[in-house]
Amino acid sequence: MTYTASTSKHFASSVRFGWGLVGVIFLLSLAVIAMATLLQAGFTQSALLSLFKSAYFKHSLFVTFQQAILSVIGATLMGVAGAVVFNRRAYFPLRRFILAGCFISMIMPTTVAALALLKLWGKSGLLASIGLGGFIPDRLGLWSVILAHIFFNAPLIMRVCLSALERLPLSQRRQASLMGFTALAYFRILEWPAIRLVLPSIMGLVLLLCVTSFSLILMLGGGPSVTTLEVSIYTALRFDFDLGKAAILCLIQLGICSLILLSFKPSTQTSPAASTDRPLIVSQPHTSDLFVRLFDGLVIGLFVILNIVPLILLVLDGHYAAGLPILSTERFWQAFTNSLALACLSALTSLFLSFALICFAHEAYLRNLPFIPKIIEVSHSVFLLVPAIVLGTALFILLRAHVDVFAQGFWIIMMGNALLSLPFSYRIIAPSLLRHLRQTDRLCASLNIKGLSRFGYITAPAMQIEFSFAFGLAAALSFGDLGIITLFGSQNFETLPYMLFQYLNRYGAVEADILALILLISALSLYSLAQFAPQLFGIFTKRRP
Amino acid sequence: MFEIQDLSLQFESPSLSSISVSLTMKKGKICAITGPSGVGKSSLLLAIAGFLAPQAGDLIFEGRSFSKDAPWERPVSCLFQTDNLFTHLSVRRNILMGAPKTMSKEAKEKALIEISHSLDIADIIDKKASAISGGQQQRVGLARALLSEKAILLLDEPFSALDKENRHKALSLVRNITKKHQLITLIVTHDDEDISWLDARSMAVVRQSIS
Repeated sequence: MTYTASTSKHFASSVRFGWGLVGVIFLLSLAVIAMATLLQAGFTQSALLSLFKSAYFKHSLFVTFQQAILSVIGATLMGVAGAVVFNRRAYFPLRRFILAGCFISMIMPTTVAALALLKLWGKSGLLASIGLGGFIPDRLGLWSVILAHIFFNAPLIMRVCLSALERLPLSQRRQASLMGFTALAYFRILEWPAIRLVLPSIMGLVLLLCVTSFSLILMLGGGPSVTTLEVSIYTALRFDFDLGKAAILCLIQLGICSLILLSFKPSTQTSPAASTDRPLIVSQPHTSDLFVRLFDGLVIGLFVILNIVPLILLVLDGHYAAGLPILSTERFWQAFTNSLALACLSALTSLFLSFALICFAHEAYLRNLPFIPKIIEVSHSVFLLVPAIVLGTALFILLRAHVDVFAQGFWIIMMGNALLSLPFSYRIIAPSLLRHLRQTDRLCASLNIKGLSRFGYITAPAMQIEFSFAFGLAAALSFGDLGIITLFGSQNFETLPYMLFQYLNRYGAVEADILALILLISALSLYSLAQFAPQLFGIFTKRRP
Repeated sequence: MFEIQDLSLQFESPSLSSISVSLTMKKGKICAITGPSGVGKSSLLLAIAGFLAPQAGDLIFEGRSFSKDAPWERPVSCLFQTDNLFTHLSVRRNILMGAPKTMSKEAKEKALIEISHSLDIADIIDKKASAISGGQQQRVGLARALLSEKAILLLDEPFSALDKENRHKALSLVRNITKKHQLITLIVTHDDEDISWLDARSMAVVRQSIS
């Protein structure tokens, strides 16, 4: 629905506009102040020169790109191959099981993933114990980081590419089938053009995630030989307490991230609209070719080994009985409560900020202010650029003069996690909410439904799926996050991932397995509960009295 | 000769129902499939092309049953309402894709030139398929179907988006190429005028409810 200039002004709301403006100013100020704080804290020419000369800096810069580029290549090859195979094998019996496993690996906490991977690839993992230690790479530190990045990102790339393939027009697939395309022709003519549209932006995102990867490097890197800029910032801040060095490293990392984001602009071409035809059998002509079957089997096998087996091992191969006593300690329950509270509050804050920004974008549309959506885009995307540890460092430097940062760690982490999940929740909610607001403005105005009533009775029920998905994802990510907590965590304030990190670093600690399992189950439950709770408890389904 | 022998398709929506079709056609003839919207005309073509599995019946061409064959093994080429071309490729590549694999490169080029002249698309063969008009896109689709040398041409309302003048031109073209290439053409249409333009026999599809 489109409005004319004369009708749209009747639906504009000053309150909505005001809240949105406050939100944008808050976010942009935070980003600008954080950067200014970093510059002020440590940007001196001599510090910069001495850092550039140090071998440690050059090494960490090299490893940052080495592991990131190798990870992106591995994840892309596997993700694209997976998308093609799972699109071709739509009726493969284990397809749903493998796709579900891949989804779990996308939202599972990094600490848990690290442990799961070690159970397969580690020196005392499954491969070594059954005499296949030869398959374990010599430089396990670097390779385990790359394997972990592939574990997380190959399913993400596969999911995005698979969606693009599923949107291929049915008529084109039928024509290809009638013409008996070979596997190669099918890929070259039909699949690759669709994948090519989505690949640059998702590769850019994965490169960004790998460059800024922190907790996986910390847990799997195996020491100073595999260090990255992000870990160097953490070391400078936490162990050397060298604010100047940390600030310069932060700025370098920020510059690199900005370059990556600018180089991998999302494609402006639109992919074909989803087919609305009813499902038909459109088998590809080459599915029974021997070479195709071998290739498909190899790709499916790789997904099973890399993504499914570690999950199974995590569940089946844990020393749970020995670790059970930890469940009766106050320390565990305190960490669990902290994690749960952080997850719920940061997800709610992220949702609230997204909602305010989207309403502001809607107001800009009604008031015909086309520049505002661009400012909104910058205000939330900036937190995609700022890695967790950089944001944490800036907040740490900014607040340490005014408050006891360790005492206020909970609120700083909560805000940091909310801001870091903001770009995701905004993108999940924005398309549907903007459409909904435009569709219901006229009716709500005629029935005089506005403010909280409109939200409670009209908007929330209509947006239940998007709100639940965004909340669940933000909560699960926050619950398992091992980012800012590494700066503010202490014996007095722990979260479950931080506690697991402590145990993983302790030789022979039997508690790690049970902690990892609880962390995984809790993160998945939190996500699932967010999807089903609204229906179970009637949230969002109020009827107007 | 093409025979549809008691081909039966079952539908679950809006209620349990079915269509049953029998038909015999000679080469060079056109049959217009008629009937109200949603009766199953398009489904019938999809079943002939191999994209829908019929509950019963057989499809026979020149004495050989092909109802168990994969879509690409059937003597059938199709043209749907939309999305008949790979729009990111050139017209030339779209047409050549229909050529039989056994055809030599020179033979393909020769056939391409002949067909593109006869369908009046010779001047656009190096353009991208996305850059040509709807009428031209349908003619390119027809060109590809002709190059495939498959005997049965299935047309699912391919010209419904064209204006009257262009539709009449396209229908005349179908009539002429069916005769010239001795094709067997089945076309779904709602319009009696189309049937007379095509000089076609018609067959009404009727849906029967299953109690």
